[in-house]
Amino acid sequence: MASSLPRRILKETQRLAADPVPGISANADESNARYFHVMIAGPEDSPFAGGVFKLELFLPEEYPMAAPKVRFMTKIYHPNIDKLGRICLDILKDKWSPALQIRTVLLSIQALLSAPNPEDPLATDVAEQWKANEAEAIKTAKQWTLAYARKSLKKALLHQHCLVLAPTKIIET
Amino acid sequence: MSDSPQNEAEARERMRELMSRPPSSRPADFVNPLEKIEQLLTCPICLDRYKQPKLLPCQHTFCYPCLESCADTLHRNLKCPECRAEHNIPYDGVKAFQPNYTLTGFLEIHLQATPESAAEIEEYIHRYNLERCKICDEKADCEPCAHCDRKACKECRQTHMDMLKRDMSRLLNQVKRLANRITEASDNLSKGIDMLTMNCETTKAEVKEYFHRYQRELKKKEDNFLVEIDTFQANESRVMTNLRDVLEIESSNMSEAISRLDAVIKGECVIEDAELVRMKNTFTEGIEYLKNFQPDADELFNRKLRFSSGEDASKLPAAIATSGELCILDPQFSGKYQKKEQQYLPRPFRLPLESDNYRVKADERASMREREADRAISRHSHRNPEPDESSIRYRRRQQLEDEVWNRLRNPAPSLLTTSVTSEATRTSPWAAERVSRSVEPTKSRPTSLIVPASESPRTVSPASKPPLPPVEKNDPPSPPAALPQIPIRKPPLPRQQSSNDESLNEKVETIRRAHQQRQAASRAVSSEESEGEDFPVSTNRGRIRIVCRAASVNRDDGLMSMIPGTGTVQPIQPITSSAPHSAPVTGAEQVAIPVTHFTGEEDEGGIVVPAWLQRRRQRFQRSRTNPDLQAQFTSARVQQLLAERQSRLDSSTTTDEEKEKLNVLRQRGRSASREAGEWRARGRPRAVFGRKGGKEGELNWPRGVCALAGGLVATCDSSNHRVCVFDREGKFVRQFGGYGSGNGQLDSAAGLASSKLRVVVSDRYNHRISVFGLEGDHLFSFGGHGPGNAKFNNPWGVAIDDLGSIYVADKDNHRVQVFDKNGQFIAKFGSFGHLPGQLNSPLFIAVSKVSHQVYVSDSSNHRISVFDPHGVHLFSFGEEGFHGGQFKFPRGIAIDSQENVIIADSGNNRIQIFDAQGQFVSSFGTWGGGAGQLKGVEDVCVTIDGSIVVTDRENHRIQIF
Repeated sequence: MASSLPRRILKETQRLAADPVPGISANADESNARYFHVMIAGPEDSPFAGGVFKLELFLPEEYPMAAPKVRFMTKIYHPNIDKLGRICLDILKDKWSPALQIRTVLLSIQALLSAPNPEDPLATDVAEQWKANEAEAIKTAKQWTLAYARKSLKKALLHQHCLVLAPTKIIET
Repeated sequence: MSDSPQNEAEARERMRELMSRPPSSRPADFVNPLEKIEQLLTCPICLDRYKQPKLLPCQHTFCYPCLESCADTLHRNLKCPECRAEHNIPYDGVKAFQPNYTLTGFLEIHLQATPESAAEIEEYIHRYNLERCKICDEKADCEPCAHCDRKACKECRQTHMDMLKRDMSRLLNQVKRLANRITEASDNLSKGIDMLTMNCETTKAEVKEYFHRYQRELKKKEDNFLVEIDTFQANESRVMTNLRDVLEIESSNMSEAISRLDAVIKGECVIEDAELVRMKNTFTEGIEYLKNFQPDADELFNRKLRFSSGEDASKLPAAIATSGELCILDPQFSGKYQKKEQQYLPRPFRLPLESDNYRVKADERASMREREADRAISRHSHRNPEPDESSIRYRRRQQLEDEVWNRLRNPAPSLLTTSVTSEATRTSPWAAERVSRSVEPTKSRPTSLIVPASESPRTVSPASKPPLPPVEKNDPPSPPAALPQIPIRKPPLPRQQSSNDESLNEKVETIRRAHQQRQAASRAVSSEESEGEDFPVSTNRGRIRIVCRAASVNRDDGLMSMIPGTGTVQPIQPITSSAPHSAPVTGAEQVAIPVTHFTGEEDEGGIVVPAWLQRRRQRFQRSRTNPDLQAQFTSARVQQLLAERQSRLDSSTTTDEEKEKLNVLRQRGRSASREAGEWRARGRPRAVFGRKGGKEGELNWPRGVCALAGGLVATCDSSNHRVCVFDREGKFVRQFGGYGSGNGQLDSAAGLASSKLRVVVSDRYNHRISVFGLEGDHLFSFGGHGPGNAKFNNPWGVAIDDLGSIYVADKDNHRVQVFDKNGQFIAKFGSFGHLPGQLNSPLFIAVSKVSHQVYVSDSSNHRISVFDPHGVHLFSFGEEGFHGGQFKFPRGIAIDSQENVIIADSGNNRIQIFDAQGQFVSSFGTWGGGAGQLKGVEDVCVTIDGSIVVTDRENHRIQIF
């Protein structure tokens, strides 16, 4: 499979390594070039600030004609991300375009963390809570972030994965 | 100089370093051009260089293979990956999408982004973005040149600096050469000091000796007196001692005799009787003696000696006081020497420095002014020494004497020397230099640095003169600043003088005076308005030249008409209306078109009316775009035909008659070639009317003209101070106006314009604009004399646009003013000068009804300037000359319905036609008094039916073409 890897995937991988997006790291799995270990730092102005979320990203055979498959590995309290870590994001579904890249997809996910959209929920219970009592929801999200996302940060540190998880604040807190 | 390549190298190095960094760690403003290009050449799908780039209708480009793979073949549609726009796939499939040729072309360049090439490209882009040098107009790293304050490239700056250095070295040489003047002077001074000491010593010795001599004399005299006194004393005392001795003896004798007699009487001694008797005698004698003894005590004992200084006693001290005089002797020729110095020194230092040529305009003007002032002063200073040279010398000596006396009287040297030195250094520029270099202000720093040249010739050293532009630039002899001081010398013709803001009041005064004179004169000889008023001398020359030309044309025509009916040549007959847009022409006139004898064109067209009209229009079109080419073409064609014919004729025996015909043909060809274009036919007037006089139907210097509704024509009958209205046949209809400055009266009205309801007249010497109804009823006037807004100085031409705005050519204010239909000032534009957008005596004005452009006859610049409705200068055309497209004092302007611009080329006595872009189309008219000939054509207008109405000023008539 790796032998027939399209040039595009190679290029994207290279560029992700050479010119990483701040707050995002994506590393191809050693055994499978289509499988990426992704870490996204919670945006500063969101309830997920201070957490680092682990994701997995898989490029299907049809990529770039088909969207990559992305899933949160870290538990997160977010109306558009369900318990299994599946993400409700249009560009990962019908709005996919071959002009999009791993980089853009991950940036979109980062943006989704900044701006949760309870009107188009995936985790209905979270969305309800978010709509009913946003303050409470945000509080929960913060608790979850502290509870789960910091753990993964430590793990990431252990695994030497977060070389580019720039914000030093994370380490301080 | 040497550091800039280094800089470049550094910049390149930095660039390379930045390139090697990942993009996110580069500075935000850093753009790698090559990477940018590479990005543009990358397909967003395969992230590779485009392969067969295809352009989608949404303007996004992708590789053909990539597009193929994301096409929905089932629904035969394609969503743009970039913008998600849906496109139907063409019948032939995705490959039928438009290839992106631009990108293909770029791809062929094969750019490979390496730091080196990027740096080069960066450099290229840098160079591309560079400013242009303001001097050589090349792109380069420009920095302001210290010399001329313009941004200039290094080379130009270097050149300037070199030039400056050359000048400086010249100056330096001069200075060096003349520097010894100062050292010499100081040497001379030290020599002079020595001389002075010596001189004073000797003088002192002289004085001493002189006085010593007289002291000896006095001493001798004194001694004499003393000796005399001594002798006197000795004598007197001897005499008096002797006398005293004698008296003492006498006294003792007497006392002895008394005592003896006493004794005798007392009987103490016995004495003989004889003796007694003798004694008795003795005593008797003794009493007698004593009685008589009355010594003159004063005479004997009181002789006194007194010294008197004599009769001239007072003279001596006076003589002493006045005796002796210290004279200061000036070296001979001192005054002359000074004069020589003046001749030598200051003037030759106006070096024609080449660096001064590059001064910016403002500097130049400033220095010019400075130089004017300087020159004015120096003129004074040079003129003065001539008449009273002696007085100067006297004054100088006086000064010297005073100085010396001062020195003699107050020996305090410090005071003197300081004053002297400050005097000397005040004018020296080197002192100023020194002062400017040392930070602390010096006490002897003069308050103003302006040094009048008359005072400074000796002390100002050469380089002190501010660098001045070379002298060869000839300026008006009298500086403008001096003008207001000599107002009396102004010419007494106020109407011609251009506005001079300073002396307005005087002007008004002189105008009024001259006006009265003129009034008187014009009553006597109302027609004697001087020709020179309208034409400077130069036009007269032009007219003579044109006379020659006119003569030749006339001869052509004459010869033409002498041989009617020859096969190839048709005589020209006047054509009344020939413009393509004019009313249909009658058959008789068609035949007379002077174009039909060219064989080539005969073949095409014949004399059929529509074809003819069509061809004429074509020709007109062609001639509009390039009339010169047209003329060349026809003339070449004619020449060729003539040559052919000539050879044919030469081969056979030619009769004289035939030769004559041939000549005629040649001439015809020549003249025809000159008069290419359809406007040629305008050369004959349809109507000529008016003659000199003041009665109805007569005209006296007609100027402005305009068309009124109903085919009427109005003209400013300027020297009759009225507006005359004629019908199209030249029949007098009515008149209004009349001399005066009251409402509805006019004074030498010049310009005339009309709208649907009113006539606007520029009331020239009343400096106002008067608005009349169509029947001549006065509505209102506005304006007044002056340079301000809504004031005029000889308003000349007027024009009205569609909105009723009134445009006025304010001649002697050299501008155009715009007013709304009620006479409220709106705007003004133009200023005096010859640059684009400037005006010099604008005379007439016209506004295009289509483009709304404003055409101004910039008369003294011999051009027509075109402005947009806001007064922004668009372009100008024409220059001084007599060829087609050139002008000599152009005057009237009219714009016909085809947007042709018709110009009254006054100095050339012709009408010229241009298209809207200022391309010369044609011209007609020559100098003369016949029909179709013009003298000093003033204004033109176009009537509704397309006729051109011309005011033939000096023929005092109007011609309609």
